[in-house]
Amino acid sequence: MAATFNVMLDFGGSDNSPGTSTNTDALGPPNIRFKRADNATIDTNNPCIVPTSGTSYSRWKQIYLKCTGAPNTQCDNFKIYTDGGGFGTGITVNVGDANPVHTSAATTGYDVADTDDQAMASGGHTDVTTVTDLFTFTSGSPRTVTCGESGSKIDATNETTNYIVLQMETLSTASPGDLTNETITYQYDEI
Amino acid sequence: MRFRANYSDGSNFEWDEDVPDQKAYTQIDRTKLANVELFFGQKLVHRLHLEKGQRLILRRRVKQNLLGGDMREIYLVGYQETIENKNRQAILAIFDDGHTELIGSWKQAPLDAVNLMELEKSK
Repeated sequence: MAATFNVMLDFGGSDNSPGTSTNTDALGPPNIRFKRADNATIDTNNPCIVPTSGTSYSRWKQIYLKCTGAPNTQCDNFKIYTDGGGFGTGITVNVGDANPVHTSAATTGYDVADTDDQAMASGGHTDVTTVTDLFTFTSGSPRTVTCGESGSKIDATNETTNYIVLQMETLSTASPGDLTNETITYQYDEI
Repeated sequence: MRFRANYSDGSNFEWDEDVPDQKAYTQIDRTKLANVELFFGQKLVHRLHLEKGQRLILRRRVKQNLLGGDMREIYLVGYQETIENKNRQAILAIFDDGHTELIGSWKQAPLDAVNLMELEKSK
């Protein structure tokens, strides 16, 4: 049977132990909203702010793919990419260069996003030390997402990829208001 | 997609990707594999003939946006062989709009390399 996956978002709880794991599929669109609160709610509360100077940061988002229907043999070679567009002047969405650990048996890569304006790579997220603009990853040059399950592959339900950690940063040059939705695509190979 | 592995002794081994728990790809007897056929429904869409030393590679490459819609898939079917200590590929990519592309070596995504299983590697 062709494998099926849910895109899961973890939030709340404490380091290494998320309070809630939400399937984002039913939330939107949009399915993920950057905000100044640590939850999965798609609303207009706790908006990101345009600072008068410097940089403002959203709470980071920790997402992963969870297998809900197992493949015949295995899935691997996971990647994500965008259309290369972005949200416009003064707004960047960063993706952590590391994929913190999340498996069917472990969430040791989870760091609770409990502080406003805390850059994930500057002492914010324990496992993220450097970041890259998410929109530099396109279909021709996607971002690899690692898998910590046995054999670095998914071959059973409930197995997952490691975390992808995303954060929006806003400069004073950004324009206020709702942003047009952007799309992240994930890719994998299945046998 | 349905697949049939035809062996040199006239026997064959079929599997359907919509039937769960088959683990079929790992059950192919590569020591006597003559060709592999791909079917959409009852229609044969491709037959790959394999010579001695050519190692079958078969993948379904899935692209899915995080909103849950607009799933796209590419079937990669071909082989890898080792010639003068160098690995060479010949891969046909079958896109979901019906067009195909033949590549002689791994390209930039979405025609970039798969992660080879042990049974696909040279011995």
